[in-house]
Amino acid sequence: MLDKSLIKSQVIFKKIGAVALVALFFVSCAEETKRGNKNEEEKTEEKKDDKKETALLKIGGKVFSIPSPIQTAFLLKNSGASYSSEMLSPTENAANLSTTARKALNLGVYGADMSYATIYDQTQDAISYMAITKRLSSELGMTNIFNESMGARFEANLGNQDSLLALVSDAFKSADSYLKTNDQNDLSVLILAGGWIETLHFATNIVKTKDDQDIKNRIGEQKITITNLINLMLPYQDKTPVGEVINKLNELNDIYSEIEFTYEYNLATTDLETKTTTINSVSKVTMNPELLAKISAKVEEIRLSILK
Amino acid sequence: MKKFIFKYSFFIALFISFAGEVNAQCDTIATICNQNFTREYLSDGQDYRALLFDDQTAEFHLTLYGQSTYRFAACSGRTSGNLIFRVYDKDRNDIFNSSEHENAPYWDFNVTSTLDVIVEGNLNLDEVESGCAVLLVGFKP
Repeated sequence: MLDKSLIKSQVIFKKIGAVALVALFFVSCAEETKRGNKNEEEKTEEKKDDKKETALLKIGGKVFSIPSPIQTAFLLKNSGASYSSEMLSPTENAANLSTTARKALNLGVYGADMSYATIYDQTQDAISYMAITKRLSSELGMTNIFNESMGARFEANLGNQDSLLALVSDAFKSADSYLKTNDQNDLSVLILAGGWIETLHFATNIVKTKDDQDIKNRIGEQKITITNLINLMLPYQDKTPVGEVINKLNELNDIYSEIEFTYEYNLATTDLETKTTTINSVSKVTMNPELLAKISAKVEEIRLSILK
Repeated sequence: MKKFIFKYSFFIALFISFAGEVNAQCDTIATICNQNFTREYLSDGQDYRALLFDDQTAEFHLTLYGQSTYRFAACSGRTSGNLIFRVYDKDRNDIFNSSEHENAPYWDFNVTSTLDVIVEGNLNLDEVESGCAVLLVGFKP
């Protein structure tokens, strides 16, 4: 069934692809006429960019990403840090979110809260945050993703952490895919930004009372992730409140620029039998307590602006 | 002038319809690509897509955390090996090239220290001329 539809899809794709290329030609011709006498240098640059993408559809080009909040939540648990429900976003805030963009940002926040509660086997909190996640995603038009069936599966798997986390991460991947397919990439990047800030809020709060070098390193390593996050958001900076969030992230990035992150490339080794490559390159983060305090304060400021 | 506007609108409408078709194709490829992940891997919650024609290259920028194991699956079309992928560090030092491993559709990576990587994807032109390139990333919890 799947094969037949895909073969049909590929045939249509080839036909429409040919027409679309002609369409692209006409669109670019029209643009060219409108712009008139562009200089040669600009034209060369435009030709280079044309190969990468158009405004209507991503063609080739660069795609940026950030790691899953679940990975850092695992690091926090493995460090021996105890569960703290006080760190989570108040559930009553969800009722006061007026715009789709704020709902998307907070969906990321609540998704990170749900993952954190799930990893610590905090059933009641996990169910509460699941309910909010379901409500917000439904309000964003994603009724088929966090639906009744997913809620039922979530409750049926309570106590089975692996299955719960698989459900949560697959649901967020489906949400990401849904928003991208429906030309709502701005909401997709806001969800990622919300989740990233919430996880960083967990980490910076924990190191205030627990001197754990692995967590401090993870906070410092966000120096490279924040660059990818900003790059990921930049194409949508004209949409409210993506531009505002980018400005705040840039302020945080300025603090991060003071952190020393060294990297040394070493040859990778590959085990053909297990189809595994070990990346042997080594990186190191150096961050003094003052910088950590500045990062922590800025993260709280950004988080509060998301929650309010 | 009217004729020109009509033609212009017609081609834009066709292109939008084409975008919808490509998205549908990407969904199907992502579903097939997901089969490269066993239960021991969790998705990173995102799905990376790009439309490729001929020898165009898609570039995916990712952060990999130290002391972690990741699986990358790269797909285009309905069969394995249609998307050749290479992994570099941020300075473009070589880490992996699937064409050296029979165009393997997926590969695992043990990461010693946190680093930024660039994954480049190209269509296997012996098999496909254009299509949606999908990269999926999973990690071992």
